[in-house]
Amino acid sequence: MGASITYPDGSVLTSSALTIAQINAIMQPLTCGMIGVANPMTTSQVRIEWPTVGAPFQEVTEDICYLRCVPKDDPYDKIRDVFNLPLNDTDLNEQWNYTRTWSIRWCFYGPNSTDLARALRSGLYQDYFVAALALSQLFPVSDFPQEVRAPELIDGQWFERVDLEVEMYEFVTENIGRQTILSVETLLEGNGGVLADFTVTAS
Amino acid sequence: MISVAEVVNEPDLAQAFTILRSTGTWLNGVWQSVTATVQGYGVIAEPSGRDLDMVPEGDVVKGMMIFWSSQIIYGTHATAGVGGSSDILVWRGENYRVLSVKQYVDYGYWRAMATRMKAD
Repeated sequence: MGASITYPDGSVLTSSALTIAQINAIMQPLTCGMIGVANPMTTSQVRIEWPTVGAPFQEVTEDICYLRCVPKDDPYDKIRDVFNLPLNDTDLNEQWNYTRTWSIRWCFYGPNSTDLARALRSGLYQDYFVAALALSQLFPVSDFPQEVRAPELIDGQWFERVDLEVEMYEFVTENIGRQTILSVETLLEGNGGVLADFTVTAS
Repeated sequence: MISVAEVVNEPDLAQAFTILRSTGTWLNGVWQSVTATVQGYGVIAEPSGRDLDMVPEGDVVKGMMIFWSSQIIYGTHATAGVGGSSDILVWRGENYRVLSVKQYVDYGYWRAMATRMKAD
């Protein structure tokens, strides 16, 4: 869940939208599973791109998958469903739902990169992985494109390289707690002074 | 062969700097490193002035430094997923990340070109 934000009027927005760290943490072990890597925690075979202080690159003989998750513009993500939640206290709670679009890109380097990309693409069709993604409100758009083989010349050697990019929808729920007036004091004054002073309190 | 180590260690020319040397490995797909501090000594020079990039987001100060030292200076290196990012050289309170290393080890020294890491 993303951070809560307090607006200047005191309303508080809480969002289920995944942070980059969260989606990386979801996709990395699932990617390991799809390509048959047994120990997602300790393996170096699926790496998250853009390490802050850099990191050593791989050898030409290693099979490494580099994972990149970036939000993507999509007309579907402009629509918001808004409704009020049943009141259980004096605050008014609105719920907003929308669909966020992610571009998930896997970049495979290594001698078996084409086969690993094929295995990953097959995994995306499997109920096990689809169900695991759904637990995090992620839903792959099942129009998976074919992987693209594009060997790359690095340090005088051709590295086998294959790219695969898939869209995923994230179902986002945002709640906004709006403050309401709890009581109003009413004061009636005449020439002779206060005529009435009463307070209306929300039940 | 002539050893130039005597020159790069000449007190009239050389000065102290600090080497931040990282070693690491991968955990959950993220590079995790630990840093050791090593005392360095050698000749330091500035190949170009401090360049100021005035970008819409603010002023970005760039600068390169060259370090000559008889001690080994590492660029990014790894074998089978274990290794380290290139050394960070600390001089006068500023960090410089090594971008290029010339291994003149046969002549008794390493020459590293490093880029400034943080803005003013």
